[in-house]
Amino acid sequence: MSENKTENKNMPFLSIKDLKVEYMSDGQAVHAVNGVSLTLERGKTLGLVGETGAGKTTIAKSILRILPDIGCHIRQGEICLDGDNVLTLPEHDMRKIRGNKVSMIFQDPMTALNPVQRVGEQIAEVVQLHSDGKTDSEARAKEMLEIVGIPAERYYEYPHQFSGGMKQRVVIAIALACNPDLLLADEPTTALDVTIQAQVMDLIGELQKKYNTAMLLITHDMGVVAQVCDDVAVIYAGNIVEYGTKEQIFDHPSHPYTVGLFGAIPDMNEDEIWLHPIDGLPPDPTDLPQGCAFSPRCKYAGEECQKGPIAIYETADGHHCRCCRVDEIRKQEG
Amino acid sequence: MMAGIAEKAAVKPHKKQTEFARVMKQLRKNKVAMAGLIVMAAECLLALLSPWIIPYDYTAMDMANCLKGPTAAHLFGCDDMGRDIFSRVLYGGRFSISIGIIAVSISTVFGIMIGSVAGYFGGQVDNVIMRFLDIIQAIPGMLLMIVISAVLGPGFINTVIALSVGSIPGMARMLRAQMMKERDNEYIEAAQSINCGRVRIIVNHLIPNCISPLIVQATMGVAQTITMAAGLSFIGLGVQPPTPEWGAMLSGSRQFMRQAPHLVIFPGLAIAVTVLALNLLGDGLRDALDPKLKN
Repeated sequence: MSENKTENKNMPFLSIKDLKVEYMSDGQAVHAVNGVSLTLERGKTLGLVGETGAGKTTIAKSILRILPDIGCHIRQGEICLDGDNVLTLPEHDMRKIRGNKVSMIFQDPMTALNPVQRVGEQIAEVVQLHSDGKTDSEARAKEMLEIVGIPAERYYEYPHQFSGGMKQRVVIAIALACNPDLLLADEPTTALDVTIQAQVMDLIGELQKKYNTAMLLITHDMGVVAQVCDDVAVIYAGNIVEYGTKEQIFDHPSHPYTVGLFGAIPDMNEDEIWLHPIDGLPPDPTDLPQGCAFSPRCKYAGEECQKGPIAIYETADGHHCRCCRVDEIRKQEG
Repeated sequence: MMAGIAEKAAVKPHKKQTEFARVMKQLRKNKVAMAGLIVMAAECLLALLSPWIIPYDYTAMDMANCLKGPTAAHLFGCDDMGRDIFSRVLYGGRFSISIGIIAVSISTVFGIMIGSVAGYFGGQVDNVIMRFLDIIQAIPGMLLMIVISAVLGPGFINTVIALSVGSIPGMARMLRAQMMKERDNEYIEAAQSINCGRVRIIVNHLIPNCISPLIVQATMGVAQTITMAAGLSFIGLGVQPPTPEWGAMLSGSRQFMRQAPHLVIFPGLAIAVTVLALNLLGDGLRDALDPKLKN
């Protein structure tokens, strides 16, 4: 389908430009996403890393346009998927995108499945919604169950008869049932045991390779990022603070926040008694600082950091960092 | 575990168990609920077949047997006009039970429609609907029924309408509260993400998750409606005499309660047994209908 669109050959598969999303809460605007820009190619994986509340999930939901109707506004920006700006598409065209071209894996498998609907029917539902009426949705659902490693006989069972890991596989089966081009994985392993985490990530990776699916992986687990991502974007207070390939980010973290994140990961090889947390708390999203949002917690912060919005600098080929003192810091740290 | 799966697969390979069969299987495990179901089924059957099985015509008067206690000829005795109470109770089941069931079905259906719209959309829609329901609820239930009956006139269908309108707000509120609780769950977002429309989300995903308290409420509502119908009959607005509706029999016999208690006991017992059976059945149904409580 998309191969025919020759005019979009030079456009990245997914590109988000200057996205701003606000929630209204008690008359106050909560600035959830503040001008995020990123790109993603087919078959690649981009990791969105950041703390709780940094706006990662909001970005994913903006792509599908499933943000709550009440009190949530996409202030500006565009999200181009295969050449179409999904933010201006009519609702009718969104139908072909949601669940079909783009699908989402939810964070908590315990609540992401309808408790009173058979699991097979939940997979069949997405097939039904996007088929031309000829596809046997039940057969496809059973096929998907087998693909994610669940016997097809369990089609007629309810979610409460499944373990957490199996439920997450069902969620993955739902997400992949229509062979999406883009997979939004919102912390797919956060609610799972470490052993099951590895299985689930392997499964996603395998299926991703098979169908050449692009993936936006939202996580706060650096281990998962290292395992599966090609590119990484570090998000802080609704803004990307550092963006580059996995190697660039892991080998040369530039932004003080990224450095801080790595400092907070326990090292297996060293006998550390204390981890190094980042002092302070993320800023109040209703009242963000004027300049760099990280400046109140940053040990390198100077006067120029608080003056105004900080531009994003390219420090190396493809490696971007939103810090006005990045060169000084690099010199200082050696 | 693998052996278990294989075994299961061998027994019912790719066979879909119907929802009804599943609920019945669950219900069968609950002996008390089964007792309620059997009693209700028996009552309904007796009421349906009553024209053929009652020993006397339910309107036939026999002044010689006025207020006579139970005998072999008249199992439940006779009332103040010498009518056979056994025949009247059996035949009266037709009216009492059907009034209860139909009125509650109407209020449940409307309650679900109104409550789901209010609960799902929230905001101003919810506000308008809820204030409207407040107005209905601000009028005392009995008064509302009297007004509707008085306007529409007495009779079976009008009684049913009068009884159902008053209980719509309660049903709607209950569904709305459930709806608001379920609405923010992640599976609703997941349904949105696979492109379920609003109607589909409400009908396929939300209502099945919200319905179980309504079922309990509805079964108990049938019992309550039967007693309320009696109240209406008593003031001459409900089902008209000589129709042997249980409540009407009960209220008509009040003045003879001391000299001939059987006039009150048997219709009262019929109501009590029905109410108890329905309540037990309602509780059992709630458990059986909810797959979360399975096993």
